[in-house]
Amino acid sequence: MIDVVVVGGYLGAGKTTLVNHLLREGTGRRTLVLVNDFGKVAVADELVAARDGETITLTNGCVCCSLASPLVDALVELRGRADPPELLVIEASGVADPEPLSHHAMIPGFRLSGVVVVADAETVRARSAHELVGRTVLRQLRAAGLVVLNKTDLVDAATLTRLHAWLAEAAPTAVVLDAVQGAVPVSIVVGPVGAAEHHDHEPLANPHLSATWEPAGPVDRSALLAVLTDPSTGIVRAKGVVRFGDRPDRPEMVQVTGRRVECSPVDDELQAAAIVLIGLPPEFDGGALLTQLDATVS
Amino acid sequence: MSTTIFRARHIVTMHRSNPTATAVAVRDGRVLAVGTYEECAQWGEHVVDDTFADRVLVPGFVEAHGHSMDALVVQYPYVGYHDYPLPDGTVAKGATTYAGVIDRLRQADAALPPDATLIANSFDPIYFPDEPRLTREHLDRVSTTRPIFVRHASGHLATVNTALLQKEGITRECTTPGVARDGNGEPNGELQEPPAMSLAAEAHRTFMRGFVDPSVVGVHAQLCRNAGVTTSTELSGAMLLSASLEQAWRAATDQPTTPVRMVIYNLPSAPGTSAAYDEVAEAALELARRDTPKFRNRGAKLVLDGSIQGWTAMLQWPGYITGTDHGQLLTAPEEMVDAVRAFHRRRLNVHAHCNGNATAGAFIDAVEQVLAEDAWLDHRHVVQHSQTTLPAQYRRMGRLGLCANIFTNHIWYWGDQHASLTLGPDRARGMWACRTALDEGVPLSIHTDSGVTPIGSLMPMWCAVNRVSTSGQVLGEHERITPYEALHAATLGAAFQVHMDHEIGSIEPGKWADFAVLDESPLDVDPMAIRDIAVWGTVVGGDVFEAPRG
Repeated sequence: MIDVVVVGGYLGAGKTTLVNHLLREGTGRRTLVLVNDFGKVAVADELVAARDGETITLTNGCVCCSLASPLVDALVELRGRADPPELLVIEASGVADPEPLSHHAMIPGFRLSGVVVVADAETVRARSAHELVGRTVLRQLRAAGLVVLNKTDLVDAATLTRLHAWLAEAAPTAVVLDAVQGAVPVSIVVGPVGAAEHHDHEPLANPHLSATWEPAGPVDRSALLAVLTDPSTGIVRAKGVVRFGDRPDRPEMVQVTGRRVECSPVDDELQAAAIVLIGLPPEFDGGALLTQLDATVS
Repeated sequence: MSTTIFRARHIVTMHRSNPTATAVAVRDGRVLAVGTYEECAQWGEHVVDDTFADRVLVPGFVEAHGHSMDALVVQYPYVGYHDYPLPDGTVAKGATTYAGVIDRLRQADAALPPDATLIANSFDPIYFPDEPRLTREHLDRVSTTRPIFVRHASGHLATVNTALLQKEGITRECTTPGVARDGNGEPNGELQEPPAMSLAAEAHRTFMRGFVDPSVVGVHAQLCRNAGVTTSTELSGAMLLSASLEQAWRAATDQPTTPVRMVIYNLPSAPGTSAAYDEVAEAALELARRDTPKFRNRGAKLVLDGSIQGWTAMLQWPGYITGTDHGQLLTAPEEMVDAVRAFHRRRLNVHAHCNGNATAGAFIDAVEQVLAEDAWLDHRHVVQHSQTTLPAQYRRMGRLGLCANIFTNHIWYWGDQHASLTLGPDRARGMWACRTALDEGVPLSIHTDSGVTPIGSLMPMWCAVNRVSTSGQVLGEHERITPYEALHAATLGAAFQVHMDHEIGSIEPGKWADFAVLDESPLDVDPMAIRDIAVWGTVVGGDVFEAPRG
């Protein structure tokens, strides 16, 4: 199973900057970045180990390539490879609607980890009212689980506050993270390395709060999803495996980004149940959250 | 240096100084002289060819917006609503009822080896408003054992039968969006959009491979010959995306037996994505250096929005009458400027798919900005399809040197649907505004978008002249043009838009000897009979290609 993170956002918002940030920091997983812009792979030079046509291999082993074929065909080719990546980051084009794009991550062999939309703090509101592209910008925000509000150094505090209030409406399923130069914690963008995944890599240092929950048994689906998407918990990102009471025979991978949850069946029936949670202060309280989560065990 | 004089009953040249003739002399593939036989004979030793003594020659039709993937329409069993001509000169009859669709599929099923998947193409649900959606239950009546994949004309959907669902493991457990369900939550056979369509893995793969198979050139060329088309513009060339394609397509086109010239406008990137436009335009220049007389690389095609009948073309207020949305741009306005600039600077012209008038407006803005920076006045950039372009936009286009290539076939194929479902009757009458374009000084061509409708210029001419829909209503009589203007749009007008009007588009000394051989002149028949004129075949570079009789 290849985890997919879709990075969307209007032209110039800072998608490539964010992707470069992820590559520089490292994701802790074998990563491939697909750029939905032909010939436009823009990776900071110091990260590049080799270039071969539309493919760039980075010094940390990550690979970037731009699309020459319809996305679905590129994904079908990818899942057939002998050494498929563990994480696929799709950098969407500036006018792409991340919602239908994310459906590509729900074909066999892939699972959607999250939709991240980069917004330019200086221009996003004006763009959202633009005659030709306003609807596109609003569609992008509506699809987001995480909004990286970029270039916040270019607006004053009052504007920023108003922006957050506006985004609460425009991006109702998103958590909003302020950023300069796309610098946000990598694990929030690409999801934590799940507790059930076994790796040689060291887990990444995480400046945000985190907790690991190991449910004692099958959980109630709607109760769990309600907790995981409750804004008052401060959860930004979560990933892990659980068994639901309605399908106890088949564990499911649960990935949370903001107020969005993606569940997908896991092939390994013996996989232990555990969810890694990442949250933002001040709302995030690991202890209280674990108690809340325990109450969802059916 | 042999000379052949073709004598004909009548020749329409589209060349002002010798508008009609009865003989044309050809040497080295080019027109040597046009006039009477005696006038042509002054060039000396020659052979007389009277094959066309009883026929009419007009300049070979130039399709300035086609797709050689129309080969994929005719290579698979056809379940479209309207008749579609086949390479052997016969016609695939349209299937106008579900029973007809099922019947067609049963015939195809009977003709296939036992293990093969049945793939059919061009089904269009918009023509069946009173029927429920096509589902697996309909297709199960064809076969319960053979997998069946029916691709819709839009390319956005497919309907499959139960055997295919089972073979590919598409069950109620499937979590891919776009797998339509019945009341019990079981997949009903409709797969919506590429992610779901890709679940029908084998059929999807088989079909997609066809898009890049150079054998389509040969099939497309036969369809062109049968319709009098001597130059066809492939308006979604993929040679920038995959350079190896260029060699294969050029080799296929350059074969002496291939009866058509191909003009390729390459996509700088897949529609909806963007590109490093300067690099891509540089690569396009490089491709153009390898041009041959029959194979040309010209500029770029930009796909800037979707379709009207798919409700995805971007419209200005008040948008679609049946939808709440107005469609959307596939390229941001800022990026249109970058794209146009990269090609314009290199003197490569840009053909931009603009079905919606909001999109056309954004493209006109981009061209205006680039022109202000760089005064290549003879750019001939083209608003393609131009289905809903408004009078004020045509006025701007006329002043900016922009051309319009209008998809007039829509009048007959979808005119009724546009009047009832998309724009409403008032605005539908103003669609495909050929009269306005010409009156505002906009160089005009008309096209088939071959693959979407059959290639051949008589039909778009008939539509532009008569403006009659399938139901027989006249849609926009004030936007009609004359048969002469329509023939000009389909020959010299189209050649102009691909910067080849000095080589093709009229029967004129020095130009390629490219003719459409017809039974009657479209300028002399009852305008309502233009589309029924029989095409004998073509002459391409002096070589005679007879179309098979169906």
